[in-house]
Amino acid sequence: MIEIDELTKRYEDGVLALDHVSYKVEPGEIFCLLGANGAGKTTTINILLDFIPPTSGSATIDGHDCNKFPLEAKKYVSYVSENVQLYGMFTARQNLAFFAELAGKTGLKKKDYDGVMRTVGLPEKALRMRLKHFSKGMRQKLGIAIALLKDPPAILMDEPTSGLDPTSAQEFLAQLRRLRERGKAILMTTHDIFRAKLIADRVGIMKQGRLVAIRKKQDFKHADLEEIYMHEMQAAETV
Amino acid sequence: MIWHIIRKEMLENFLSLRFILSLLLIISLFAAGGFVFVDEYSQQLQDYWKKTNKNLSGLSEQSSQLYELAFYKQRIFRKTKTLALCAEGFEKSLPNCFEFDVFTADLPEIKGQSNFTVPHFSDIDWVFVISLVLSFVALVFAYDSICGEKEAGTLRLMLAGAIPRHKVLFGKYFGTMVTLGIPLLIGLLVNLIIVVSSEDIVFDGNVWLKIFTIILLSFLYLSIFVLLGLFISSRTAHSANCMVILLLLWVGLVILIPSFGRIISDASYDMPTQEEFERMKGEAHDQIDQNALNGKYGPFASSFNPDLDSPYANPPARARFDNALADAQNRITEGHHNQMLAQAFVGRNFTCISPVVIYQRAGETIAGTGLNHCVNLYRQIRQYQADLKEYIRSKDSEDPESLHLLSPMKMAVKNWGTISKQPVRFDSVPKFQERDLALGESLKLAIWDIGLLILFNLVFFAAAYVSFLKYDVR
Repeated sequence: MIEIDELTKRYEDGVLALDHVSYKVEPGEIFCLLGANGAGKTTTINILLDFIPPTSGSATIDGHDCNKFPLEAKKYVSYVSENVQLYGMFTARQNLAFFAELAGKTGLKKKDYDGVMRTVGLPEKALRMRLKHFSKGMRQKLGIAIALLKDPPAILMDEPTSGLDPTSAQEFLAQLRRLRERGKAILMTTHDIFRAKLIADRVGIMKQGRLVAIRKKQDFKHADLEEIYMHEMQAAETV
Repeated sequence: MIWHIIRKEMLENFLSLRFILSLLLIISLFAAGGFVFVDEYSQQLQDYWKKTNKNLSGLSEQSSQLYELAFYKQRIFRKTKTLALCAEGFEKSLPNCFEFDVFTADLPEIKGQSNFTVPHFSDIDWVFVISLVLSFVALVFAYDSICGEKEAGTLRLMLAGAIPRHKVLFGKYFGTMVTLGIPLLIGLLVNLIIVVSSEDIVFDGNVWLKIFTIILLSFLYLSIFVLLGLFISSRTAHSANCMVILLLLWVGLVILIPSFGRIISDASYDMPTQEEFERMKGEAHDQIDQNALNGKYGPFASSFNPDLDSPYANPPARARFDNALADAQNRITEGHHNQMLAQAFVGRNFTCISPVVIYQRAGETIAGTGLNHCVNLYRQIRQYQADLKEYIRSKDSEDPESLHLLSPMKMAVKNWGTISKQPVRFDSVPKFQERDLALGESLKLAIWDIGLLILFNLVFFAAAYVSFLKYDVR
């Protein structure tokens, strides 16, 4: 569903943000990208969303090249950012309606909005609340609600659990599981090794633009993912 | 898809404090402008008719003898146009009285100024409110359209969807234009209701069409500022920086450049003083005297003997001499007048890099006010002067006792009978009536200004378009 092939990005200032990175995220899979700041996680997302062009290699979503046919590729993906920022003066419903309409979902009824709010664990009365009164956790949930209304086969998440309190983070992970059950291919960047271990089917470890390791669930299910992460980072340092 | 973005932009603006404040400000200004205009217009109209009737009654008295009609100094006053409501055109600083007889015309009377150079600020007319206040409001609505959404993070989310960037730009442009249009149209409606409710002001179909055209022009003008706002917004990463840049540009375009008009006018034209003007007239007089002595106009041209039978009386030569004097005076006056106009126009032409000047000029041309009104009125008066002279010549030719020598010397008429002394019917005497230009004629005159406004729109749109396509939303 999401395929990264030999993806390389060198910025104008010479910084190599991605260095021949390749991996796939299959339907019904949660792939977590781990790495320090500047490792190239967000650069990957930016290329997938056509915010920046790659220097070489390709990134495709559902077979559509994100650089050559970005509008076609973006039909099959939703995006949840680190800090979901919506229109503060709008109510949750107005925000949902706007982004759903942009995704081509017009004519949604109250039950559709109520349903998606229940799914993400937000009370229905929150639909009438202005976003400026939402907590960060509520905004993250609403970000997922927007993604759900679009109902694409792939979802990109950039540090979605950053800054969430433990309860909100747990609820968020429960949401991800449900999305996985619905066959969504989820690419999630995170610093949060603890939660990556809980939710990921595979993890990719990035360092200075390189994908230094990919580990499957069985590799870290009973092991300390942090230890694996540190080990891979040190190994990459030696290389 | 564009409609959804337009609707979002409108809703976002309507919910903001800046919209409420702008709405109140614009409505207050238009309402104040309406009340002030109605009050001033009634006074000016009364004043105009009083002076015009005085002129007509003088003309009526002089029609008892044809030659008196020829020597009667008519005073034609500039009538305040109803469309001064839209574009007053600094008319208070422009000549409002034109004095002439059939032989000579004086310089138009200018109140309180030594030249025609216009000041920058006028009454609270539509053009003032729109060019100054609404242009700023347009920037206030547009400055954070792109960089503000980037700061908030919503632009990233919006563009993560399958939306072409040009549609986002169009949506933001039309959304801002509709947002601006609402206070503008409500303000105009309030203004028109106040004005139309007045008994003195009646709009005919042509005036309504012109009002509609000025409203369209206003949207064209405001669109420039919206596009400028979008352009700068798509060149900056922070809305605060964007606002500062736009503020600088606004001050330059709306305040500084139009003000340079006066400086450029003063610097580029060295207008002769009243003494120099009188000296030029004196020199011309001396030259014609010299020509007369040299026999250019015939024997005894410059001398006057009341006795027609005297060998020193030569009425045709005297008439040629007097007409030569009058023509020379007219040429100098006309030249001085044209210089004053050119001085006023040159300043405006140099400042055409500002959309404000172009919009003001186009608005005045459509409304039939301002400098063009004065120029047009002056032309019509000159034409009327020629028509009246022709009428007098024609009536004079019917009198067998007249010498049929139309000359500007009253003594020659009285003693020699160079012009008929017969009475004429007052209703047959041509009277001056100012003709307003039809919309088509006004549009022809304003075509370059409208073209320039469209050009500004295209340039800023292209700039905003290219800039937004390359905009880094990260």
